[in-house]
Amino acid sequence: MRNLRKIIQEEGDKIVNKCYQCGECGSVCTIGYVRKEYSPRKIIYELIIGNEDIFESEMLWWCAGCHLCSETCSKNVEPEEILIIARNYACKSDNRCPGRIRMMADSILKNGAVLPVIGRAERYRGEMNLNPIKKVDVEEIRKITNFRR
Amino acid sequence: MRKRIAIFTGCYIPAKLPYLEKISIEILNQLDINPRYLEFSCCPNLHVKSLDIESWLSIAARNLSIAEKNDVDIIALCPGCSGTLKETAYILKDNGMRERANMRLREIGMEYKGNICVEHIIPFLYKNMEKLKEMITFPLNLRVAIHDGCHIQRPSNLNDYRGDYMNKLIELTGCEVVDYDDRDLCCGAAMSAINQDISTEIAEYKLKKLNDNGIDILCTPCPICFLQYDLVRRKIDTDISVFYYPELLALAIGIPPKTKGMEYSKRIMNLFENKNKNVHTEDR
Repeated sequence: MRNLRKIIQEEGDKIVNKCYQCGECGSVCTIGYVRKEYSPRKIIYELIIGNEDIFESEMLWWCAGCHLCSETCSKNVEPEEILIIARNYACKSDNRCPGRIRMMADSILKNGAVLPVIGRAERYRGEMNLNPIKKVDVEEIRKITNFRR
Repeated sequence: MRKRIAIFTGCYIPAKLPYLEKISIEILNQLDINPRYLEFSCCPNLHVKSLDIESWLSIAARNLSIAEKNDVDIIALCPGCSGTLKETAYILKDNGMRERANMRLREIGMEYKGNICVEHIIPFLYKNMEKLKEMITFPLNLRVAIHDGCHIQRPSNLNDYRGDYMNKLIELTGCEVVDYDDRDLCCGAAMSAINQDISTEIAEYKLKKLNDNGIDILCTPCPICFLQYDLVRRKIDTDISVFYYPELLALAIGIPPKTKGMEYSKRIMNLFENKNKNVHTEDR
């Protein structure tokens, strides 16, 4: 997080190169609890050596977003943010974005939310006297995002 | 925080768990807060950040700018939302980054000046602990394990939440906090968009461990963790019920279980029928 501004400003390279492959990130990784073969360290290794095959791998997306790796890293590499930048790159080049995630972006463009409030939920809301959810002007979302394919 | 508050309900609560929204609003009302509903979109979530970080930041900046225009601060019901908005507010404190976001916002006639305070409902309740203490009328006397969830506490430089907040809030309801290993382990819900098996196995790992601890309830401040554990709970043999914190608090401060909205929660009704026969007896 602390480095996110820099990462966005295309300084990602320098940050990745601070990694000395100690494996602290893997020792706390949520995914590691159920998939022993996985560690953010390994993905970062592929990025350091410039192995483009990693962008084809589902493993690039194995992340629960818990942020423990970034909190733990003693070199402030912030693996979670590095992997987010790598996934951004995968999505931009050849559109290798997982289908479910593309669907979420499509739903935000269409409804302003990942899940629309319709059917039973809408009826329950009325029965509970909850305020209606305000309509989002999705044209605004369209104008400020790069989601259009 | 400003006196005037807008509620950030997020995506999952209004569409899948509206009774959690009802209960949270009920509690805020009892604290003399009548939050406004504004034209907020998805916060947006971590997956959108993985897809395109610039779009993620722009959508979040739009949400902050709407709050700023209405002169309100934000209370979020979901730590995912408060996390995204806090992180964005932090990034946009930088003049260069704010200008970059504003270049996009100006296309839709908006601007963000950098002046919004975002809080999740749990730290907010913690800071109102003294008022809440006076409101407790039905101590619950249950054994509770806490699942804090990730985004309410990390990144730790942006969040003042500590596990102690939930401990104190649970004790406030008259319940006993049961300590256990791996309290910090994530629920795995975010992985379900990529790989359902991994996601379920992560949640099972914690629930199976907790099953031997003799607890009544797993309580969480996050609706996504709540949904994840409540779904996975059905797949394994366990008596543990999963609760979103405001539900427990609502029972303890004497909002009757049959209040409009609360009766939709089967868990509340079961608790009320079986485990705590003394709760709200005059209301039965």
